[in-house]
Amino acid sequence: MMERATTIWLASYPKSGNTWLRAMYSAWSSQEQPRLDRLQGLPIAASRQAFDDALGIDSADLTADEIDLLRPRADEVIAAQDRRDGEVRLRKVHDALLTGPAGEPVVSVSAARCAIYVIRDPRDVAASLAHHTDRPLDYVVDYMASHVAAVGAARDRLEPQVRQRLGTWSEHVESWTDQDVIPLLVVRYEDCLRDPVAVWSAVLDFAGMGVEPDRVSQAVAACSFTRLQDQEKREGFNERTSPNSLFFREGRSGGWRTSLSAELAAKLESDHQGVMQRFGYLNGGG
Amino acid sequence: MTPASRAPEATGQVAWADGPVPDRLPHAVWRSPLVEVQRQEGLLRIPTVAKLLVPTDGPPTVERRAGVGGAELDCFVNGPVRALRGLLGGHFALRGSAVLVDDGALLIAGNSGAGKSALAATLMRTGSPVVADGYVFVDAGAPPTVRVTCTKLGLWPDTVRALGMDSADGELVRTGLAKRAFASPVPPTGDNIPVRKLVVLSIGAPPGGSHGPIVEPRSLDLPTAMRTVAALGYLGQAVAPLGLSADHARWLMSLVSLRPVELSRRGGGMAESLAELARAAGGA
Repeated sequence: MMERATTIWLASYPKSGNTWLRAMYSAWSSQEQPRLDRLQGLPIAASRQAFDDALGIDSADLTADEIDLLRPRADEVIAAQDRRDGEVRLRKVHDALLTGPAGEPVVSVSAARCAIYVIRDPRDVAASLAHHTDRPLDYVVDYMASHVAAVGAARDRLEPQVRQRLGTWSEHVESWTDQDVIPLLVVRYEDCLRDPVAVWSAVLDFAGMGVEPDRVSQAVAACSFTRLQDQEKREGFNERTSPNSLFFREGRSGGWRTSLSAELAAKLESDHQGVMQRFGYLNGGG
Repeated sequence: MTPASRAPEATGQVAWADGPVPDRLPHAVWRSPLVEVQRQEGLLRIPTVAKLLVPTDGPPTVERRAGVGGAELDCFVNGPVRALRGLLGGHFALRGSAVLVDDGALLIAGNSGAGKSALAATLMRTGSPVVADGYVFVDAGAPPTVRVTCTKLGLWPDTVRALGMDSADGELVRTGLAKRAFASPVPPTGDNIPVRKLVVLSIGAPPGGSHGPIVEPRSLDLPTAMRTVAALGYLGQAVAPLGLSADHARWLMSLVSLRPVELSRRGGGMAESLAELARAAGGA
């Protein structure tokens, strides 16, 4: 399957660096400064529009469970088109890799060449998510411990993205990192900040896309946090949820130390102790 | 248009008959995981609801899953099945809504979730009769005309609240969905209504820095308009395999001759942005 499949799932819990890596991919593939408004060219796995276009049906007439059942089919249609076009595509996904009503993973396994899972210190995720969603920190910390946490799940409105089940932050991480049906590379956001060239080279190598050092360096330079933030300030960004808060806000690690209370930090460490330890977030590695 | 084809039903509900439906069409010229088409016939498979065999003429045959009721089927028979039957007969539909304003139809197109029905409802509340919702059948011409196919709007609770409507006035569209269908208080008169304006709704980036315009209108140049409108047509991928490319090209040209305007919604509250969209659509 590896040689024929065309989709590279770029998976993460929200606010874990997924968009930054997508920008990097855009810069790498186009060899130009990435345009934030064109990152949409690579549709998120939960894109309602991509689902409707692929299947020829209006997802607004389907329940969330029915959509879960059909999402892998939509992924396969998109991948088949990419195969005809000779393209390999990186697709953002925030879903946990849970099974749908028919026992099949919610994103297509057969369409997947591989997956890159981006993990970030959950204490920084909490601070960033609270800012992004304009929710109190204690709400977000509870949300990250909720087994039924999901985005795009509102029943009273139609959102541009279909429901994405997240589970707890730990469940999300484990759903991807403990599966064995899609070849996986785990990338720590903190490592990406520390040495983006090395991390991006590893991603390209893993995905079989060929590593050209100059091209990688150019892509990394084009995607410096300052450059992306400046572009967002000038032109806006449609993944921003509020006109008053930037999507590219801080882009650093350890910011939680100044934004999370000791109590909330302790709760996150307790809720997610096992996974945090496993990925080096409780032993000074974050 | 194929000479023998029959126009889609007007506002009446599409009737269907229960019966066995094959899993595949033997001579399909185009297949997706849910839809197959061959000359004069289409197949729609909605795994949790039914398989539907759709002839160009005559009622669709429905093989429904156990426990699926008639109201559940109506949602599909009068939506994608009607659109599929129209396509097989050379009648092309656009994903959108249409309302009657002044002397013609305002056609509101856009992707799912862009706010088409919500904008149509805003205009319905100020007296514009609803002409179509979901799939809008447009016949090529100068100007193109739109068929009256559905005088109800499917609205989600957030829109109902924002417009100060009473949810009890609407009927649930399907079990498990909070969307309700609201009848147009004023029925449209006539059938083939000339289209005066075409607006395409999209969701844009919230402006950088402080508050900017909530709705940003943008005239689409010809190539962009062609691409955008083509992408919003129902099942455009099946057009060429069905041998309908020439008719479809005429249809497309007819629509882009309206000089479509994109209205990009860039944040703001629901009520505020709908009011702004309605103003912009009026002036587009």
